[in-house]
Amino acid sequence: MEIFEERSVLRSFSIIVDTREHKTAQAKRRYESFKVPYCRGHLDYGDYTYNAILPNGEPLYDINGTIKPASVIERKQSIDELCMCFGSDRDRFRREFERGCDAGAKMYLLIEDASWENLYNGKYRSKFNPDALSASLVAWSNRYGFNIYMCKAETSGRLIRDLLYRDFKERLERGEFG
Amino acid sequence: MKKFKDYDSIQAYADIPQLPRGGYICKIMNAEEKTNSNGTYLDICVDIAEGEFKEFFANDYRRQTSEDKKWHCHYLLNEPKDDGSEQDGWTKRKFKTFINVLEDSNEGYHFDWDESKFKGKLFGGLFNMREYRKNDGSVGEAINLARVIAVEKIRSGDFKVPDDKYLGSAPASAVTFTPIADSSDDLPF
Repeated sequence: MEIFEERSVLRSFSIIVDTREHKTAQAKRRYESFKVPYCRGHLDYGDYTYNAILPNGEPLYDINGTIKPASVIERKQSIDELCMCFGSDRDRFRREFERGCDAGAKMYLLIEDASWENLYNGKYRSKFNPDALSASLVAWSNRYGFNIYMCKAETSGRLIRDLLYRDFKERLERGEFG
Repeated sequence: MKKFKDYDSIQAYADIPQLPRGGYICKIMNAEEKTNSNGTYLDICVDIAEGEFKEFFANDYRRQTSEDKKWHCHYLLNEPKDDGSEQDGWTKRKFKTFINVLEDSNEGYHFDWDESKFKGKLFGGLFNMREYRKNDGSVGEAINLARVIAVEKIRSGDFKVPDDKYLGSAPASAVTFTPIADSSDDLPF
């Protein structure tokens, strides 16, 4: 892809939000802080991925079908929710990462309103043991190859956009999209 | 002192190639209609098409190490507003001059008001030096695409490079090229 085709593709960058993401006021604020276009689509795994228009005029992903993205962000709104994922929802949570792994996707786990200090010190509303929680989190990040990010809720929209944009740009410059 | 690891391969600032003042056969790499507070204009990205400095600006782009690279040769062509003003008359003359240069330089090309068809077209570019004020207030120098002429005039050597432009030396109306903040043409964001 020549330089100006790449630049044109980058300018068409947009974000796909999984259809299962709840339409709350906080979600709307998060989407608005993307400051790039976004739409909804059915992701096979993860909550957010990107889309763009390629030089042939076709979108990278057809949002009318189930999308198996090359990169996704799985968002959790708190350590409390993460505890639930590693507790009662553990099998469903694991299957989500397994589907991503099987598809060769790069995955990011973004936990809002969280820090390693709060996680290690059990500062969350769950009886989940902090050592067990941190062990599961770090072990899974190795097992399924995902990166862990934590931030305040008000930052997550911007971070989602930046993670996806930089991932997309790297792949584009490596020639993964033609 | 301990030698740092990539000393032998790293490019010193003085080694970054500079395009010398002169006349070059240029190629339009991209042309897009854009809008700013002054109205609508065509942002035309240019590279050197032939000779010793062929692909000078593409090489400059590839050499950049920042995450968001900039294309460093733009020719900005204001679009007339059709408001009958004297200023608009100058804009129309400059616009038509550019179109005539493209039609004279590219056999079979006839302008049809589709700027996307500029891509790949050749023209003659006269480059001088232009002073500019840096963000820190100091004065810098940059190579500047000052004027466009027919390709044939470059080939035959029938051209004179415009005088360099120093800060405060030219009235605004005489400036034919305005550098832009290139960050506007790419995300982020």
